[in-house]
Amino acid sequence: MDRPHITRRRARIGGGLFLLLLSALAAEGAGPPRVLILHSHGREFAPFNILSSTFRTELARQSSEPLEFYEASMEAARYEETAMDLPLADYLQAMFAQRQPDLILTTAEPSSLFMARHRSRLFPSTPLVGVVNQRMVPAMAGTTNATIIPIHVELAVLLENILEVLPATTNVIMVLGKSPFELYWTEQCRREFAPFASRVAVSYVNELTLDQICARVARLPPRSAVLYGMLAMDAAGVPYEQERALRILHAAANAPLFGVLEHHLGNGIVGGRLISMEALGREAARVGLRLLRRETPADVRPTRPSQPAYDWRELRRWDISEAGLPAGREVRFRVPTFWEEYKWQLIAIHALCLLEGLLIFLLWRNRRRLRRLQGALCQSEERLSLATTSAKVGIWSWNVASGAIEATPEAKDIFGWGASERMTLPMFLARLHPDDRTAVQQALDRALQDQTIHEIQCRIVRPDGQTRWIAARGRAHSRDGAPVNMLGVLLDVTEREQAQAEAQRQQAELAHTSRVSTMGELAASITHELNQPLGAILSNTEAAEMFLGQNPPALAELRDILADIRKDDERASEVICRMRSLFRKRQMELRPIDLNSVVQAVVRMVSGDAALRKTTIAAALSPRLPPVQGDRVHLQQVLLNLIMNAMEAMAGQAPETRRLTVHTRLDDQGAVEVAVSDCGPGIEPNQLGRLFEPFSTTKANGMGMGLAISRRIIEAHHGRLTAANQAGGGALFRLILPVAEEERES
Amino acid sequence: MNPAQPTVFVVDDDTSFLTAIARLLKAGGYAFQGFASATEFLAHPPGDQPGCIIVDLHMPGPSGLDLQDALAAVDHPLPLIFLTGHGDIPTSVHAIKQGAEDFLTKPVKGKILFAAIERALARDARQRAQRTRRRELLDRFDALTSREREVLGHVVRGQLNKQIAGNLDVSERTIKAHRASIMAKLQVQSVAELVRLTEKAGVLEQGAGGRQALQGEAPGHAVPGRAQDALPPR
Repeated sequence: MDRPHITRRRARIGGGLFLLLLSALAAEGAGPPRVLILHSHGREFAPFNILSSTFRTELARQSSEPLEFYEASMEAARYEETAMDLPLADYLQAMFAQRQPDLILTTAEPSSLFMARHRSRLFPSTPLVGVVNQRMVPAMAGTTNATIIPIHVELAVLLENILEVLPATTNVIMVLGKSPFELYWTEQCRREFAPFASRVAVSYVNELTLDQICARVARLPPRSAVLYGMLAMDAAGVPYEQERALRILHAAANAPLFGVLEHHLGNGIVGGRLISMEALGREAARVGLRLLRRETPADVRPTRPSQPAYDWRELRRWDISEAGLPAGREVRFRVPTFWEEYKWQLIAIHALCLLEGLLIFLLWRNRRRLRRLQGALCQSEERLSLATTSAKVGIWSWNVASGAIEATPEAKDIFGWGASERMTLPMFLARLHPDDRTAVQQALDRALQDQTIHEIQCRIVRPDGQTRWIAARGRAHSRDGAPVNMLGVLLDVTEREQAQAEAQRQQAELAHTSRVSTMGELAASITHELNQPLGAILSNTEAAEMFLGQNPPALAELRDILADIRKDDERASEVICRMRSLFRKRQMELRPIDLNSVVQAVVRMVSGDAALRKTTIAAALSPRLPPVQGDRVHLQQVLLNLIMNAMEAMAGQAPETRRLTVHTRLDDQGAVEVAVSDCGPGIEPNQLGRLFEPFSTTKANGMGMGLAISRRIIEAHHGRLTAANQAGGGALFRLILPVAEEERES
Repeated sequence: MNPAQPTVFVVDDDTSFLTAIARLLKAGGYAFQGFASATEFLAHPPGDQPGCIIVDLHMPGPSGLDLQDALAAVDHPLPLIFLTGHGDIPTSVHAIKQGAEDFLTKPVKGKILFAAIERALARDARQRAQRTRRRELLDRFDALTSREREVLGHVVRGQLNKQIAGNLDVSERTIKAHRASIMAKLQVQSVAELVRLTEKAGVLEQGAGGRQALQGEAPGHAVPGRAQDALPPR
């Protein structure tokens, strides 16, 4: 590229100022190395301000000795190209009259070209580092003692940046201002964008004020983009420093903004491959440092546009997917999502919440379960209470050590204690009927021995003098082998006892009635049995009277007669005795008795009747029969009933087949059995089931109570009465009674 | 045993009572023979001697009624007195219907017992005399020839000699001779007497015409209707 005369003009502008400075500095002697930074457009002119400040900072940092920095500006953007050359050169010459600078940095073309133009005058021995647009590098060729760091600006890349991200873009607004520098670049752009003309229409805004530009970019059609080069000065001549214009445009634009320089990123552009002024500054500092040390400057490392970098916020704003971005990209200004920023906190909080929730759930569930349990408990308690109250069952608990008795109101009520009164064992014992006290005490002692349920029935005397029957059931609980407490229930069974007594009385009455009626059936044979001796007595008496009338009286005969009379009298009285007990009305009393003797008595009793009925009764009695707990009269009644029934059953058959046997034996279970078997027709199978039901009879004039009562009697003896048919014909009744307790124990 | 002296046979299983009654009867002047059961009595039945039987109704083995039946079966003539400790009405009625002399219950007063025995003995004597008379009568009829019996049958039906002669296809004279022989053998003087005696003997079978039979060798029983009115053919 040829040297543009714009640069020459600028160099001439700074000349006078430079001489002024030079004279002021001439008075100073040797000191720290001097570094002159010669700005093209002013110290704060973007983007070169970044370059120069980076250079200055880096150089100062890396230098082993303190450095003295001098800065001067050509203000090339504001003045004609070489207008200030001479004053500036004079100024600089004056500034460094006493001592020349040790290093000169020129940023951008105007100052670089200025130095090239005036090198012979301006410190040719001082090394110069010039950072220039690579297009101007040839213009710098031949400059004495100068190291050129080119700025590679590839304009096509700028459009590519846009198309890479938004391939559909057809319309690009290229933002460059009205300053000569910008106009230069506008020219460059027009030329280098030409190959894209078919794809993208690029329009320029050099002739617009910022407001106009803003208005324009605010109403862009779809598929538009704004490419911000720079806006140092708009058409109205208003300067904008430090990328202020970029921020204004960013606020106004309805299309994405793209830029050129790295530091545009973050100020509203989407991004792309950008030129880094910092990198240039660092490279300039590296080169400068070597020159300060009088070392041969190494090869300048080319600073190429950076790896593509993007502003995350803009990507978001224009809804550009990161996936479509070129490889090796860097996305900056990523605003971390709330999640990314507070990931661990969030995890912790969530975990905490979860934990807490879980805890709450567990507590809630526990509470619900507790409530349900409470409800169930309440209900159960209510039920128990209802049950105990309505059944008048008292519940008690006796603390063995203290003797205290805890009892429900029902239990206390049974004893006639107040509900709030405290109960103790001595109090309980004092309430007992004197006759029962010992038995209860013994029962309690027994209950404490084991852990089984014990039951006792006893009488208590209430404070009002009433005697009540109570039944108590309880079980002792022990700890370490020693009884601790006893828990049980209590029931007033007076009515039950009375009812039982009444039932017993009625049963006895019924049994007696039945007995008497059975005896009625025996009346004929009894009469016969009685009249036999009575007849003998009368005949003997009359014979005796007649013998007495004889002369001499037959005394020997009379003596025999008297003996016979006595004998017959005894016989009659024996018959009466035998019968009398059966006619007597009495309660059942169980005492050990010999069943054989019962059988014998009954067989004797019915022998007359049996003769009358031509029935043979055989008794096969086991000689060694333990006594049973029984009531003689009642057992006789049962046997009588069975034998009479058997005889009646056989009445319709031939006399020689009317055989009846009564067996006694000790069975395998250690119980005593009496079996009455006959040779009659047996029991009809359909009768077998309800034989023992009341009013079940097969007799023409029977009441049907005999067997029912017999069974009741045997059950009261804790025995069994069963009926069956024998294999060989005839009925078999078995009467099984337990052996008397005392006997079993011995 | 003196056949003329009536004997009281007592059947009772109760030995004590048997002894007592024996004493009483002895004191009353009766001949006595005791049996412990009906079986024993039937094993040694008394011969044809006067007397009566006192039997207990209820005994082990055959009862008093069984004994009565057994005796009736062999036409034993001795009258029977039941003496029992307990007798119900149906049993007593049955016993009396079967010809028992009396039905007494123990204890029985001597006077009543003796009266019953006397009645029984009297009856026995009466029956005995009756039996003797009847046997004599039957002996007379036995003397008749079969022709005479035939003629007698016609005579008692009131036929005249001429009618009889016609029926039998003999002469009237022959009939007259038969009638005279019959009158002589039966020791009667008139036809009326002959008819009465024939009826009394009951030897003619009514309507069958001349077939008569005696009641075997044993004396006929006094029960009416029991004797068979047929004479054995000679």
